[in-house]
Amino acid sequence: MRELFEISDRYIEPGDANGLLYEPLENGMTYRATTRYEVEFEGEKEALEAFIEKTLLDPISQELHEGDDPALTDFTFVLEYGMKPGALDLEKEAIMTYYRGIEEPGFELKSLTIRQRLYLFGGSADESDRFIRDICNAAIHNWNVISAG
Amino acid sequence: MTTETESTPPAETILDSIAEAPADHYRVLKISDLDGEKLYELSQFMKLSLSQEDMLAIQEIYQEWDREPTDVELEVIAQTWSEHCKHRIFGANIEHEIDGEKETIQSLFKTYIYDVSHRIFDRKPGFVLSAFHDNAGFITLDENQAVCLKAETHNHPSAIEPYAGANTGLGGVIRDILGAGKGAKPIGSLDVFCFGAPDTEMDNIKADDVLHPLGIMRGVVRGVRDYGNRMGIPTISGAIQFDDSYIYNPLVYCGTAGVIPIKDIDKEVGAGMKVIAVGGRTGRDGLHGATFSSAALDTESHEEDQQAVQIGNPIEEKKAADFVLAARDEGLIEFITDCGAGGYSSAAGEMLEECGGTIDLDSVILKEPGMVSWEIFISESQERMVLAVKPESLPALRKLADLYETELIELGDADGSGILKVTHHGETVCQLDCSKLHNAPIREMKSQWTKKTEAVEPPLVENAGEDLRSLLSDFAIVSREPIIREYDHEVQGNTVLKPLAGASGDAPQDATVLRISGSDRLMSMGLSVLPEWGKTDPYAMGTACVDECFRQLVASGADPDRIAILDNFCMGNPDDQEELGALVETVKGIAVAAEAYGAPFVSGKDSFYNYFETEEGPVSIPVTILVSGMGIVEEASHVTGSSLRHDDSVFALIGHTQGHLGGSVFARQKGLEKAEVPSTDLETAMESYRKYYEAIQQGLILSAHDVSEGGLAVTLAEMAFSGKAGLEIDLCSVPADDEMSKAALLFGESPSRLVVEVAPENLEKLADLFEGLPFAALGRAAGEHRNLRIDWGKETLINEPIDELKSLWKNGLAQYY
Amino acid sequence: MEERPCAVLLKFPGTNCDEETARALETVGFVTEVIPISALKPESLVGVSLVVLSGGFSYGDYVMAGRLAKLVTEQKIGDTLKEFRDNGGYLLGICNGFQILTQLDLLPAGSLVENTSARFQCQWVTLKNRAPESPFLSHLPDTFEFPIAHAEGRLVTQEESEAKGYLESGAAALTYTEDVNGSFEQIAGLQDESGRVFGLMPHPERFLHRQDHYDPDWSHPSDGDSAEGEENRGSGYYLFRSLFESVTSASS
Repeated sequence: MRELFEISDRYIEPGDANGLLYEPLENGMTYRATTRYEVEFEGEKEALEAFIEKTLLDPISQELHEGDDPALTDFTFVLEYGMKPGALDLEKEAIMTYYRGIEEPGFELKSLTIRQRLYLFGGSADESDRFIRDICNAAIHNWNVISAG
Repeated sequence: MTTETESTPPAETILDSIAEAPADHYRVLKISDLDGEKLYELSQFMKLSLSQEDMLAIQEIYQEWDREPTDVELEVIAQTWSEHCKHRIFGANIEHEIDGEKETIQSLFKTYIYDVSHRIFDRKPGFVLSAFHDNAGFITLDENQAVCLKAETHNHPSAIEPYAGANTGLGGVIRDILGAGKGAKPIGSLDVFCFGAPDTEMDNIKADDVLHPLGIMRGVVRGVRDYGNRMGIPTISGAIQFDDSYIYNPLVYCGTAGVIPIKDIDKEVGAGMKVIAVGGRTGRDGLHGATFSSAALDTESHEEDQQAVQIGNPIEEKKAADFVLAARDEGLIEFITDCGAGGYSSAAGEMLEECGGTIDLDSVILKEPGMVSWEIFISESQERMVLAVKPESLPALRKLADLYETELIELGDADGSGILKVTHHGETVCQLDCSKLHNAPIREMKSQWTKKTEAVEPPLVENAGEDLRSLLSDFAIVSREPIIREYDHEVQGNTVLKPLAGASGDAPQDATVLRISGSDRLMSMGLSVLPEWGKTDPYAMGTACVDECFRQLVASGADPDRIAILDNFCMGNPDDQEELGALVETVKGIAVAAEAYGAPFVSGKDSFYNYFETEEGPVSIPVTILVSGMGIVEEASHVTGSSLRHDDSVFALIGHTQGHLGGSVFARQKGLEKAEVPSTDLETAMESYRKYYEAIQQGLILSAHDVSEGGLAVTLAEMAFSGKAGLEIDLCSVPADDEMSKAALLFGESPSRLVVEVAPENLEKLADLFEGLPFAALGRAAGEHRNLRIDWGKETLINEPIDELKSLWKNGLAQYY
Repeated sequence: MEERPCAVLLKFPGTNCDEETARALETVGFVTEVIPISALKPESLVGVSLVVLSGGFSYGDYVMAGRLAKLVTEQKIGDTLKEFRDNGGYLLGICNGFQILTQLDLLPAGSLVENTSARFQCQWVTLKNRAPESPFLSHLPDTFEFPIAHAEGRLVTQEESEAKGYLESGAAALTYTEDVNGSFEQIAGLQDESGRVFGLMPHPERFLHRQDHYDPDWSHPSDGDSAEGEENRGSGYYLFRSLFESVTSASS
């Protein structure tokens, strides 16, 4: 079975997207970052959800979204990227190591894929190539762009 | 098992045509019948980075042994003979021509590094405790402890993936320290970068898939940050050079200092010991790093080597470090070394080259199944250390490994046979007499250098205040604060003189000083990198770099007779005679300065092939040397910062000012590429440094700042950035060449100069101490205003509000990082 | 001779300020033992007066600062730390240790999230002592400086009003005198209701000596009671000395 969880921060204000780029854009954009966890598992879904909440979510500063729909709305586009197969994902390693140490998790975690999502607001969807160029590196990352609508 | 065995066979390669596979995991390669060309093809196919000549030499060795090599053996020899491990250019015979005069140099390393240092060792018995043979060189701190320093480059990986490249670069040099002696404790790191300018226009990058300098800078800084901070090792010292020549080949130097009980420096492997490994697992992620770094970059390497990029795991290394230091303290380690370039093959090779022994690859815990013998043996997976221990220590070591949650494997045994044997799946896959492998063919090379400078009329200075503002805003000079604050430079609680200090906490310092736990003495760290000088006068760059590093250490309070230095070279294409000529001249420069100052080299490294094939032809970096150094500070009261302290003090200048502007930031801004570069009067400088140290011991010096990038005017401004007072300076009595230009007086970068702050009542004492040496009173701190005012006799050259100057300097990099 | 009180310093993989923190504890008089988490048992705290969680990056802090350290601690010793507090024990969390203590619900509810600068910040800050009666702060003046070094030191609460409440109740024992990292109400350190649990982002253990200050001419604002040999102490020393005196007077 496959479940998707996306975690967003409640208190982090949208940032100036020019800070992510080598050269500033003509029309400024802002961004917010979230993290998306894609889990393949066997067993009780409730146990998985409890694990996710206990391990990954900070109820004070974060919000958890389950399912396929993007957590945020009104974006121009979303750049989603993560470690490509074979490249070390330190967060994933930490989570998997902790999971393996749990005595009776109640579910079997088959695989975990972590993706960073950058929601870009304002500006134009045509700028996505520049964000890919300046943020992603084919040496370690793979990525995809989610367009609005 | 779903392994596919019947897929379409690829076209037969040179390897297939000569390979016999006695088993799935290794092959015997029939090389005895191959001619030179075929041998070279094989080297290229296997990515061995061995020349045709090397391959022929290997063929000859195997003919003597009357057998064929296995793929594991060829990989081991390639690692052993790689430039990265063997430094064959520094050992080459070089026919050198300088301004038309010819000479032959048999080994740059032996002539200018090793021999020079050994003459100094003889002059200073007991000072250097170990040099050149271990992972890092040690000098005596006090009766019980020694300190060491090691620096490395990680240029090519950082060009391809800056974050990962810098992060594994720092991780690697930290392991060097953990593997020095029986395990030294890392106590501070330095990082030095050379990048293209952060505002480089995209259109000026003439190749595909080259990262923008800003992307490289951000990635590299974060890589150093995330590794150093997590390891809990303060990153205390650094420098950044910006120049277009580094757009395609950024340089990333990482260095780490360590401390060790003197009794734990000597280490030896003996028959009967167990070889163990701790730390990370072994995977395919780290194949061919050593040979990769011995080759040039092009766009293709950016695509092709995407598989090779490793990302560091600092917590893995932290656990291994905790284990190593605890094991050392319990006396459980007989020998230790890091797993760096060449992986287990060079670690075990180093450990067993004399003693001999067996390594069992079945003991290795793998990240992925199905790795063949050579892959396991040369994998450069990060965060691994290899140790030799007594068998009876194993239970205690296992306990410590459990305690610190690191994996420990029994890799093999040392047996006294002198043979390095490797087994895998019950078969011997490698059996080499390492003593027979030391004779890699000596390279024959040619180099030449001709003078590039000429007499240039110094530009008229019409508005010195504007020129000063422009210098303080230059990328070469602007504050590195945004970067420095990303590094935890105070973890371990011993950073006494911080990289940013003074009354306002944000003014630049020359060197950084660390307290050493368990000692009354301290250690100072300094460094110098002046590539602009080397473009026209590499010899002067060499002397000036040693001088600047040495001067920083002395300024901060180190004893000039207890300083040791490191040489880390980077250059473009060594097969280009002019480029190699620049290297030779640089080496001569550092050697003569090191000898004059009695500052031995205790470690060094070199990185070649930093050139890139762009659309417009090859671009090489200028020969770039990083001289870094450590000095012993006798007591805490000697520690001296570079920021103005009192509003009623007086200022003096030590050292002679030359008229030459070459190499200076000012000359670069004014387009004086060929201006003559200042030379270093080593004897006078050394005498001055000794006198300065006497003044330190007498408590006369309040603060001191070296005159470097931007010249005297920038030095004074930087001292005043503490905000404690204004400055009133008169240059009329500055010891200088006849017919000085204002430009050279204010902005020239003559070496060996220090500006010092002293209490008014101590000025005469100080002047007496410097009798017969270049020394002059400069002026006074002015509590009544906050301007930097510099006069030359009756003429006021500069009168600028310090807060305005500081704001230019402080914010120059902030908009980019 | 009086027996010296015992302090235990918990060490997770990635904890890296344990040595200097142990040094600080020893300097003021504690007998200090560093216990790696792998060896921690509920009975490890028997006879112990103080548990310290020092700075570092427990488990890399890749998930969120302190989260895995909390989970593993609970796996290992359950509620032992809460019982330890209830039985009169003292708990100090510095930097990552503060993050872990908030995760463990040993301090008033709050989370330490990424600085508004989105940077790691290694710098010195000025702090206001809002709880001079605290066992951790009694020897510290009204304002003083400590260094910070963190990327996730911004204290947020479920509602901003809670943070205001912490100021009023005295839970916010330490505040920055200016906005350093976006913390609600500029909170730098929290104490619990008992006063025996205290967490702060700044690093007192890095300022044991006068010379640790960035300004070579810094001197401790003398409050008249500095004993002989104390003129070379830094402000951080006084946090540990306050703690030592509180612990010893509580147990005598």
